[in-house]
Amino acid sequence: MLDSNKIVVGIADCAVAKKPLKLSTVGLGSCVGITVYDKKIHLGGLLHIMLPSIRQARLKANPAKFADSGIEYLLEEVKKEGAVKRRLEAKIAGGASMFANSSFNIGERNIRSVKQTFEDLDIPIVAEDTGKNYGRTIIFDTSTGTLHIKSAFKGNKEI
Amino acid sequence: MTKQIRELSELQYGALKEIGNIGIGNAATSLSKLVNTRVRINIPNTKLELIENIPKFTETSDSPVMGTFMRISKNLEGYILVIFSENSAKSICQILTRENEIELSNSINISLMEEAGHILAGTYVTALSDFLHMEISISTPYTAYDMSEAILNYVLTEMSYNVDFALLFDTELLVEDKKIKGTFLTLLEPESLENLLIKIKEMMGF
Repeated sequence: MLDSNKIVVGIADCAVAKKPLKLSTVGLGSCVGITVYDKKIHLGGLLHIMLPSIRQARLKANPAKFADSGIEYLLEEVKKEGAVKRRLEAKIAGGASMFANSSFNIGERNIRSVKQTFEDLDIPIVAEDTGKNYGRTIIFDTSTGTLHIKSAFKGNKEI
Repeated sequence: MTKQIRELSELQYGALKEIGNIGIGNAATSLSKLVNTRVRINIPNTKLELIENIPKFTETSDSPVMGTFMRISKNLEGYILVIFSENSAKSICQILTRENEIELSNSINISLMEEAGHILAGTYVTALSDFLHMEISISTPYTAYDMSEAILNYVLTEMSYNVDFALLFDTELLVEDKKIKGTFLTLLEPESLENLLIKIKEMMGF
C-alpha cells in the first residue's frame, strides 16, 4: 500500500521528518534500525545501519552504513532541523541472527556498537526490540514517537 | 591491492548474463527432475552495484518467503540465495511429500526446502565450474522462513563485512502448471568478478 505520509529509508540510509510524517524501513535482518525523537517539536530521524564501525571500513563514503558514524550523522541531521540534543530519546530494533546454524553474530555486534555509541553521546535508549531470530519491518510515527514493529510470524508490537 | 572494477561495459554484462544463463539452465533441469515437470527460466537483472543499493534491483518485500543461502568459495567468492514464495514452497513440499496440507514452519519442511535449495545451487555451481574450468565449492545451506527483504539484508550484511561492491545475477525459475516461482540471486565479490572477466576474455579470444 502506498502511503504518501510515509518515507521509506533504504539500507545504509537515513531520513528526518516532522509530524505527521512516518518513517519506515523494510526487512531488518542483522541490520539495526535506529530512531531518535525530539518530543517537543515532534521531529524524528530514522537510520538503517549495516555494520558496527566505520573504523574498519575500506570505503568510508557513506557514514549511514555504520553504527558509530551513522548515529553521529543522524544527530547532525536532526540538529539541522531544530532538534536539541538533551531532549533526544532513542529507540532501536533489529540485529537478529536469522539463520540458526550460522555462526556469524553480526547482529549482536551491531547492537553492542549502537548501545556504546549512544552511551558515549549520553543519549538514552528508551526502548528496544533487538536480537532473536527473525526479521523486522519498522514504522516510526513522528506525531507520537511510537515505533511500530512488524514481523512475519512473531506478531506486531509498539515500543 | 588491485584496482577494483566499479563499472562494466554492455559486452561484459552480456557475457555475464550468458554465464548466468548456463548456470540457471542446469539448475532448472534439476528442479524439473525434482518436480517432474517443465521449468522455464528468466534472467531479469545483472548488475554491479554498491552492496547497499542491491535491494533496489531485486523484487523483495516484507512478505514471508523460504530463503536458503550458501557461500561459494575458491576461484569464485560470494553467495547464492535461493528464494521461493510461500505458495511455491508449499507446492514443492506437496510434490515431494505427497501430502496435501503443508505447514511451512514445520522443521521437516524447512529441511526439505533447504535440501531443494542446496541441490539447485549445487547444479548451478557445477555447471559454472565445468563451463569456466574454475574450481568453485559450495558451503552447507542455511535456511530461514521469514521476510524476503530481511533474508537478503542478512546476506548482504554478511557480505559487506568483506567487500563494498557486489555483482548481482537475479534469475527466475518458473513452473507454470504448479505455480512455482523461484528466485536465484548470485552475489559475487569484486575480485572474483575480475577473475571471471579474465576467464571470459580468454574464452572469447579478445
